[in-house]
Amino acid sequence: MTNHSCDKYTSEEISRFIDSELSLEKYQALEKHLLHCTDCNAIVQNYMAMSTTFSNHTEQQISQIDTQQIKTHLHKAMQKPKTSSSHLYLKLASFAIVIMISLFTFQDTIFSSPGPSAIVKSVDTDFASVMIIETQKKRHTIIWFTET
Amino acid sequence: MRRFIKTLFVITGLICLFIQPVCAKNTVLTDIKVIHASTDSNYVDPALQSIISELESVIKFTSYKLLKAEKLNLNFGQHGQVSLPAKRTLEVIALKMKGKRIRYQILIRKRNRIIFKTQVDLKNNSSITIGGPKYKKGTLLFNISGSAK
Amino acid sequence: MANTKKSNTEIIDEQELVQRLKKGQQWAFDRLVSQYQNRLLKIAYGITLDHEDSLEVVQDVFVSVFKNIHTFRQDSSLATWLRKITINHCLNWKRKWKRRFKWHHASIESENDKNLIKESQKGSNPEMLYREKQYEANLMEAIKKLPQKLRVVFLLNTVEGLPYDQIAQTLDIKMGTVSSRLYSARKKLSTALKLTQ
Repeated sequence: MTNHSCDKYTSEEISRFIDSELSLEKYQALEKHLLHCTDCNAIVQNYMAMSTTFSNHTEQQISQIDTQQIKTHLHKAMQKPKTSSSHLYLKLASFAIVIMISLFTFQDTIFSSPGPSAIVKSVDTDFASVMIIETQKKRHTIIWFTET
Repeated sequence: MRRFIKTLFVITGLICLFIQPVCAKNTVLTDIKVIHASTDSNYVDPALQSIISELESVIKFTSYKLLKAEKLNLNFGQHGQVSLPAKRTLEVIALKMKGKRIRYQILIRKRNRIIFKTQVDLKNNSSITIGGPKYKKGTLLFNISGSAK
Repeated sequence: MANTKKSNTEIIDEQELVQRLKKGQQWAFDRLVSQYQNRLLKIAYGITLDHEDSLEVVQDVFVSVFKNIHTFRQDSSLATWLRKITINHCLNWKRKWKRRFKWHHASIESENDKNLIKESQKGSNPEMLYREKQYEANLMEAIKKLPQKLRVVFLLNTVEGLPYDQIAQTLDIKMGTVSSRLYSARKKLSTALKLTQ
């Protein structure tokens, strides 16, 4: 890696130049300067190559979305019944009953310590790569190691 | 009346919280599932549906086959062992209860050499998945669940 | 009646499209998706850097747009509104760890290397193609490591081709901040790629 050695223009100005965000006067002066300054030219080429490559890469990565899937989502979202206040009380009441029953039946799972399904106290291995992951929904713990 | 129901709720909750520690646990039912995950097909073993639906949010395989399922009834401190493909063995020891969690030591050996060792505090009636070893164009996953009785 | 059965190729103005969306017309929805999906997918991919995540984000965006179209007051263009929603959806995509995991996973399998070799075997000038692909792979690696703030600005500049004032408006930041973030992004990428900066 080489540092920009031309002291006439900073690389920040060159960055603005390639985005056409310099004043017209400055833009034209830098344009002229580029005709003979290989150092500034190299930066322009690098910055432009990065933009073009990223843009092309993004273009290649996209595919078409499944419109039918969106419609299904929409359909479901639109069909959700609105809760009336009497329903709300009914829901609260049944929720309370469920909690009461759960308290007796699943005391282990409900009141067992919150947090991940497993707390990893230690991992001992020769492998370079060990990851501890937790799923979002149920906070299920996963230890992932890669044999080298 | 409302106050009465509220109090009833609180008392029930407290009773449930305190009942459990009184009942000491002696044995741990440990369920070990050995799974072969790959991208060969779109097959998910019916017995694995619930685990996989959770794992799928992080692990990107398409096929999950259950190679082995073993239930071990272990006393605290007792070793349990399951043989794995490619000359590996999985060893679990339920060490003790740590609050509402079971402290497990889990070892994977390859030709008697320990290649992986971990100590976890597993939530009672819950499970942990260990994954990574390459096997037949895929990866092995071990799902270990524990339930103290 | 004939008005409602428009073909998807017919040109209509944005205002009419919005009006039809507000009336809940299916045709308008199809039109919205076909017209904007590529743009939004590129934005989503540029931020999430994950093909599947970008598809999911954009699907969510369209569902949310259709549900909330009545809140669109047309102070800005539909494209600007959609762009903002997409960026917000991406930034709120609370699965950063999941993406990190997938990147890691990809590197374990070293699929990229395999693809590179395959690609280089296909081309007429394998050496050149390999170098280009290598440059692209290195650049994408460096982009993944860019702080999200810088990446979003870099994306809007390169992929969307937006001028600084529009980037500033989209992200509610000052134009000077856009300029410095862009420069900072380019500098970091140059450092990572070991180029003149």
